[in-house]
Amino acid sequence: MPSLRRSLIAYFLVLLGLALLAYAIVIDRFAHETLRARQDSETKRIDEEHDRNVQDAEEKFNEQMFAHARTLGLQLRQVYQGITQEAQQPQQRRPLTPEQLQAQEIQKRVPRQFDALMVALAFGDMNPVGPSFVLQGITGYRNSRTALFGSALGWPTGTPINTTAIRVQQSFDLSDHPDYFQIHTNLSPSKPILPKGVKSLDLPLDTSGLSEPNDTRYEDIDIPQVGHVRRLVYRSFINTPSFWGRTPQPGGGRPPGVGAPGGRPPNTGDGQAVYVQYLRKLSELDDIKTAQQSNLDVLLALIEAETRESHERLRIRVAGIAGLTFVALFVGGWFIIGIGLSPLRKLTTAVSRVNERDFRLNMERTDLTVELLPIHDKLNQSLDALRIAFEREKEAIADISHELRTPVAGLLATLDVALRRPRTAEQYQKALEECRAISKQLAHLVERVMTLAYLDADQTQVTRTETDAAALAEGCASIIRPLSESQSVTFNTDIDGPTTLDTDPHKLREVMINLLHNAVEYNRPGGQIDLRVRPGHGGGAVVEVADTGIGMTAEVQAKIFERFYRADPSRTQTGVHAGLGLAIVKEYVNRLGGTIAVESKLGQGTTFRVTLPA
Amino acid sequence: MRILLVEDQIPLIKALRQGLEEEGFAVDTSTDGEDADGKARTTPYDVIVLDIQLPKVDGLTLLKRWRSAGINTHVLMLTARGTTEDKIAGLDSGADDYLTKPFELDELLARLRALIRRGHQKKDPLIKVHDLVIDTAARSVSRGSKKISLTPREYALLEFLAFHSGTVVTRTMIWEHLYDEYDENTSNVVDVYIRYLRNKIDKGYENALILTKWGEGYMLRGADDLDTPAEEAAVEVAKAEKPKKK
Repeated sequence: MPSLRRSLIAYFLVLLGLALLAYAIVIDRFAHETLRARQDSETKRIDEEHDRNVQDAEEKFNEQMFAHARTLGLQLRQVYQGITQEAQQPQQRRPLTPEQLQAQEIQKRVPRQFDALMVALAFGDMNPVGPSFVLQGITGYRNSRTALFGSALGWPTGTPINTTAIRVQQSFDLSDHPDYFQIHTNLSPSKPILPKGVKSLDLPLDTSGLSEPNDTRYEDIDIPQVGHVRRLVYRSFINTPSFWGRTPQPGGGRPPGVGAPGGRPPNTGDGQAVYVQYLRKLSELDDIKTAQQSNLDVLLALIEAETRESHERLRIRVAGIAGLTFVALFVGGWFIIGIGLSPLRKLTTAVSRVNERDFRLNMERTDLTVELLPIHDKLNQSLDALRIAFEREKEAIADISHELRTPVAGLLATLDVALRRPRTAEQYQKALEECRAISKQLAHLVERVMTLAYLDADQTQVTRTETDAAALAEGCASIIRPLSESQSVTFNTDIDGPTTLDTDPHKLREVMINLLHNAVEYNRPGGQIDLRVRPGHGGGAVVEVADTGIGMTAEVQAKIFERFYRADPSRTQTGVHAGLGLAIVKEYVNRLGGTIAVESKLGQGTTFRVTLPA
Repeated sequence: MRILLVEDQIPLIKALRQGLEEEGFAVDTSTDGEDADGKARTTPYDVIVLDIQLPKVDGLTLLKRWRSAGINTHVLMLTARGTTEDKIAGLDSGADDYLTKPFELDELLARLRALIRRGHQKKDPLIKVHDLVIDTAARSVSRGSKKISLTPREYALLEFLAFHSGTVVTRTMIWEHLYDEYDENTSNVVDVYIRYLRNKIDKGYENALILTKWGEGYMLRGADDLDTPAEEAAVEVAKAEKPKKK
């Protein structure tokens, strides 16, 4: 059973659901875009930062390389300057210790040319010494009395050291920098001297672009034994030109294919240049970069996750709000619709209280809404009509049953009395005559009730034939005249004929007889009855029955055509009329297409006028 | 017992009058409300049988008028209106009983008897006076073990005396309750019927039950009136018979 409230709430909720869905989608899209934009900007920022970090790392890498190389260069200079000072002031030297002398001897045996200065700091496995820095292999210095700082740190000694070895201990903490340095002078650029036991990488020196002190060049190269490394070539200087006296010889091979082509180290002529080649594994930088990359990845993943999480959270929140809204509006809507429908409910209650005993719609108009008022009013009208019809029906049934019961009671009482004790034949005959009279009255009554019932059920046949109303009236007059005269009532006729009609003669006859009967019955001794028949103005006929009887008030006139209405109840004892005669007359006249009118004055008489069509 | 029958249907009046008279009732009739009103106000009926639909004044209006005027005669509504509402309206207007048409004569008679008993504050249909037993339901009378056969009028007289047993009833009272409006009021008709009754009730019995109160009327001996000597009663009887001879 569809419910107004349920269907309203259902439609409402469907609408609400769609609206909320649309809102949710819009919010979701919007939020998604916003979050995506935020994520993008964040990603960009982080990317930039990462790029900067990578650059920084590279710069730092390079700076570190440069710093090491420069430090080395400075140290070399210091060492070298110390040596040259010693060489320029041999007279002021204190007497040499035997060890020094021995060293001098050793030095004398090495080539006097300062061929190369080489620092070998072995990469990892190549240098078991660890954090040591050894400058060695200075040869060719004429008066070199280079202090031998020895190889106390386990430099593989045992072989005579014919170089000026400088040990700079703890100058660099090289524990983390298992890097490779190689030093050339511009005197012998192609020939670094290697300490024994240390494998030289023997990197060729390419001095291109390195014309000034402190010039640097970075390049990434592959070295088979080591791998991918960055090389820093750094030009340092050692002394003033006056000291060196002569320029180094050009030439000096270097391994083919390594370094820049055709580059002799430029001799500026103003001093000894030292080139520091510094190799550092790029894997170190790569590690940093990788770490930074992975850091970046983590960050990006984090941002991505954060964005997704924000989005999820927003979705949950939106869904929650939508759900709550839905529930709240469902409950609220239920109540609101309930309140809105309350006039309808009142109307329903009022209607449901209507029954066959109480046809009133028991409610106030003010309880209703504009929409319901027409229903209410129409319903009230219908109920009123129904009540009147119902009451009329009830009255009719009561009247019929009353009219039937009364003769039946007389019949029964007569029979009861007759049968109560033995009677004479005359007594029985009298009783039977009595019963017959009552039965005739009863039959007549039943006949009339049935006539009306047929009329009501629309089952009365009207059989029209060509009828002379005047002749019909004469016939009726001949029936009524004796009855009238027996009651001392004068009966006159004024019949203008022939008056031909196309009508049902039986019905018309019934109408006339009924009216004439009434005229006799409600007349007074010495009174008069006039039956007049004349053609109508536009064809048809007018039949008038006038009496000089008791007459009627206007109030009575209004009711005489109602069923079971009797102007004077005392007349019922004649038994002929139970208040149905005029009702039947009216129905018949209507069926014949005519009209009936009544004029009456109380105490003066009554005239019935029937107008019939042609 | 005297009844007023108010009814506008002539065949019914005829039948009922005959039936009731044959049962010993005195029956007056009215065919309209005004006539009935006049009769009810002037005659002390035992019961009025009243129709509702009447010419001039309807039954219910009539009944209300009587009740407000202090006329407390029992009224039995006899009408063709048979709905519950009609019955309620009738009883609430002051009717004592309600019977719808069509009805059976026996039922009407039984209801009338019941109303008459009620009018005399009797519930038991058997009235006993010493060894005399009157069955008001079966309308039979016996004294000792002997059944006594009475005409309707004799029975009605005995019943009337029995309802008033122990008290004196005047000739007028007897007249008023046992004869209808058409009966000719001859001075000694009551005395004649008393003598008939005595012959059937008291003759041959030691105790006479019907006593004559000189100058007042007659009395059926009360149930506790055992001490009254038979002779006295005989004297009373003798005295009572005296006026008849006049």
